[in-house]
Amino acid sequence: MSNTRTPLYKVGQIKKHFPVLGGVLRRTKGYVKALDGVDLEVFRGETISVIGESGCGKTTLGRMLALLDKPTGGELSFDFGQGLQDVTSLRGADQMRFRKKVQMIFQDPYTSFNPRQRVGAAMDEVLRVHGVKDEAERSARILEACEMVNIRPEYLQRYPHEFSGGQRQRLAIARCLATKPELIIADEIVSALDVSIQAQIVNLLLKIQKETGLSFIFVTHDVAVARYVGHRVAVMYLGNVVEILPADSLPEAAEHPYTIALLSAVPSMNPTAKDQRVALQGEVPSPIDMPKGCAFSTRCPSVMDICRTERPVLKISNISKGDHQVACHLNKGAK
Amino acid sequence: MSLSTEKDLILDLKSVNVKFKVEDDTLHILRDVSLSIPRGSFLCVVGESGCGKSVTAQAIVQLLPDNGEISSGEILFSQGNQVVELNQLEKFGKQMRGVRGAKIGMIFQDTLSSLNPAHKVGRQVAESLLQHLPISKGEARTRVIELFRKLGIPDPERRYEAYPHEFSGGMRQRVMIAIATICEPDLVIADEPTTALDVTIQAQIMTLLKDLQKSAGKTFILITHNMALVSEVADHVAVMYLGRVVEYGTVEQVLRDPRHPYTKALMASVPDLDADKNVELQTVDGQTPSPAEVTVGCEFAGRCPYVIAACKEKTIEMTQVNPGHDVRCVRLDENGKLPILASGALHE
Repeated sequence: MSNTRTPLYKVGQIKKHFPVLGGVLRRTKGYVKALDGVDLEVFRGETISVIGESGCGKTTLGRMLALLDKPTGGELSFDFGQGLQDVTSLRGADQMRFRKKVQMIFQDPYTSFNPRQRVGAAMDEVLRVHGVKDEAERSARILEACEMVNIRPEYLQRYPHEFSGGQRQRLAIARCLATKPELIIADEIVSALDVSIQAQIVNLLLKIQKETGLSFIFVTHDVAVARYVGHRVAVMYLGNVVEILPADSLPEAAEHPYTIALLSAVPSMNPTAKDQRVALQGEVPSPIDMPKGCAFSTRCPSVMDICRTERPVLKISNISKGDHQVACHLNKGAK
Repeated sequence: MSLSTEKDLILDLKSVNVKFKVEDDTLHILRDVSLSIPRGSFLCVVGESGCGKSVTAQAIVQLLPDNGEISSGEILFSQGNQVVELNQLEKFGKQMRGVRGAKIGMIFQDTLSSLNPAHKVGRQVAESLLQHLPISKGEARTRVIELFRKLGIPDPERRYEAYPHEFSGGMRQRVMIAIATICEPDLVIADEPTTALDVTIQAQIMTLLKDLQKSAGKTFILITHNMALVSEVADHVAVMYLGRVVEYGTVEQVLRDPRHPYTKALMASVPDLDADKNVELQTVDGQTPSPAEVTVGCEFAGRCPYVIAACKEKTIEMTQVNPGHDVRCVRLDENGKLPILASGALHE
């Protein structure tokens, strides 16, 4: 079904390798392969949750999509309205046009606002940068955004330290919305908040998504929140997307051994969940010297000979078909 | 001064109050915290930031910051046949030092700042053995390596000689567990030990703690904000809000049948893996008040959907709703149930 729609944002074999320097001469000794060939398509009005453990590259992927870092290789193309267009080579005004369409929200709401600037002024600045010259229009947009996130207009005269963490995160969301973006990349935006506040933000995101039809990329380490927020969930392990599947089909439809292990490690209130636990041995290998074949082969409970030599690519699942893709040699005969 | 004879209690907190001096103010951080912990049980203390769960742990082992003090109450620790009133001991006196580390082990959240970066980890674990027991260095080393092996630290002889930065987060937490348990303490207090770790590593660490409880009969106090984790490991649960225990009971009582509005809200605000996506997550209006601005009555009244005038009149006492299940709420009827809200603010 995804083949008939055209994506808003298409990521093709994106790579990001950070050099590791060593020795007296600071020569490049090797590379940390933070992203090693990720494919992803984001459709209009869709929320994709990206999950994975620390160091899997989920934050790097988010930054890459917002063009905050330059990819080492691969393609990024965005649909401005006239079909997909490469964005990695955009400069100047064209790049600004892209930044207006694709906004990012960060984890720490304490550091994403200037402590010496009133929050209203901070939001106004963003709009000015993006070429909204009319002052009346700027304030109208800011008020509209604040209403959407339940921040009272008089609060705009306050400084960031006068807000709680949850309010500040709502302000960060409002600042994003004011530019009228088409895609919002949210990187761990609820992880620093207490659970009751986290629920406020999650409900708010879902409301905004329903009302505006925006696309979201929701990067998180919390599997249950990812499933709750997203339409689709992309599971990352060591710089690769190992499985993408509809969120509703989780946890039952998960096929990749890593996804299954990750899901079973999530503590659950459901007493039966304990019995189906798959305990993963060992830890994530260093991304500097990655295993030769499948990155997960060193910890996989169902590892086969082929896994150690050949890297599996993302293919449509043989079992559930459709929107479900998995990168695993167990997914035999898939195209 | 004796512990209740009905149950073998290892630790008994009786109306513990802790106050902190901040500039000219005195903040009341723990309010009449009473907890009875049976030997060999696994107690989880849950609550959000600022509820006093970590301060409770610090008060037990007398490691409160310099501006904090236990203003009233008793902390009774049973050591063999003897009962010691911990809060009467001198903070850094010989007796307290003999308890801390040897009889009560502690595991903290941030492993990187709890370990000395300039010393080999093996030595840091052996240090507590040498401090508390009359054994030789060689013997201590053997016991540390043996424990490393038991805790699943690969290649323990080589790891003994390694420095903290050479360990991953999960491995460092195992080292912390080794430090906490090397002297075979009866009670281990773990303050958010897995919050900084990934879920797969968290599962490994929790299995380890649970095994220690079951096989070695140790008593655990786990401090956490993660309700789902509580449901997996705890025998008993204490829910705290703004310095007060608002609900206490067995894990079945508190998690399957929560009675306090705050406990209900806390549980409904986290989606489970099989949550219905069409049901909105429940939120609690506002945020936890600062301990400085608290007035009379229930601390949760300002955010509670069930609030009535009586909630704000006087301090609410604990009432028993079932044997062993205590709740601090005036809105419970004679059956210990909350009234049904007309507005439908809660998803029942």
